[in-house]
Amino acid sequence: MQDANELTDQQLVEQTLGGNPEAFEQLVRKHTNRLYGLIYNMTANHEDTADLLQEVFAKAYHSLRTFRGDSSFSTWLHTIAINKTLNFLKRRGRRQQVSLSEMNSGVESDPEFIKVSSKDNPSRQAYLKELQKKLNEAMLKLSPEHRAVVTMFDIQGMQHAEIAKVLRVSEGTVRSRLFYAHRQLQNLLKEYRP
Amino acid sequence: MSKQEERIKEGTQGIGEEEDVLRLLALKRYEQPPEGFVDSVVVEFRRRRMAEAIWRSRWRIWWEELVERMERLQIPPIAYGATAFAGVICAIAILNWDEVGQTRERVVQVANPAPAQVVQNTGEVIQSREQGEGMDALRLTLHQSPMEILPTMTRTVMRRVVGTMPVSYPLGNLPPAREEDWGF
Repeated sequence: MQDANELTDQQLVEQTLGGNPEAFEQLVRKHTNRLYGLIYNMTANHEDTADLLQEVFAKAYHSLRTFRGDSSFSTWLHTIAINKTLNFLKRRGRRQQVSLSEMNSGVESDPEFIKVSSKDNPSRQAYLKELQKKLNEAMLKLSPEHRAVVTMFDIQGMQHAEIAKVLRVSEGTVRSRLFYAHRQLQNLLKEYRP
Repeated sequence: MSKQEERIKEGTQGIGEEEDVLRLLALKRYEQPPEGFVDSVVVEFRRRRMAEAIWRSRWRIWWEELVERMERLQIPPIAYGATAFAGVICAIAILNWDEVGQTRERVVQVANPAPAQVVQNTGEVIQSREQGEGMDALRLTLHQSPMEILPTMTRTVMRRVVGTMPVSYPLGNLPPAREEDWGF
């Protein structure tokens, strides 16, 4: 029998629809990290991200019959995640400002990051960390829609077309939002250049 | 290693203009959830799925779907107010529908002992379903004052006529003589 880890998303979806809910747990395992990156970079809060992830997977599980396979399962999940997150951010609005102390970025402890920055001197490394912190702060100043495209394009490496599908907007809109968001981030980080 | 990752490594040597932002953003893709997070998500998902299987109804799924769609449409709050107002109007109209019927019935019953005065008889004979049985309806304009403090109201009511004589009986209350054939 084929190992569960080797099954494609489509096969796992079919198994779930066939009455095997454990197959969906495999899908949860496969997509959690990526969705975490998406939601966390938009909410900047670990607890909110964990709650939203549960909502996303619950919604996906209950709506699985509506997944027609026109797009990949990953894109479909991203669509649910983005909608849930944007709605959440609208509800949260300004009544709860996220402070930087709440932003628990995990990048400092990432071995890849240390490897990348160790080529430089310690002061350079400290400067890069400081810049990351400022970047997080600048990201929070973007509107949720702009943060979404930046997260998907620059951080998750998704293509314009896929982002357009997820957000249900044109590719032109995605490009223009990206342009505006980059410009805004540049301006916000201008004062921290060496 | 992807080109972008190589660019990140090279990029740490010097920070430029727009590239700075892109490199910094690309570094964020190394961010990972805390260790054991994936397992905890799966366990929590399973727990919720078990719990939901007991109480979650189709109605709730439909409602959540509707709320989400509405939120996605970004409808201005005033539209909700307008919809609620329209709903109230519709509810009033539906409730009054019955009352309208009762009022008409009441007018006929009140008119029966002739409290109202016929001020205009248009002579217009309106065909009724019972025409074949010798029943017609005649349009009359009546003056009646349901309350003394109110001015006289003019209403047009339907009265059934047999031949040339108007009668006030609703169809169901026709005298037995009209319902049965003469026995001789």
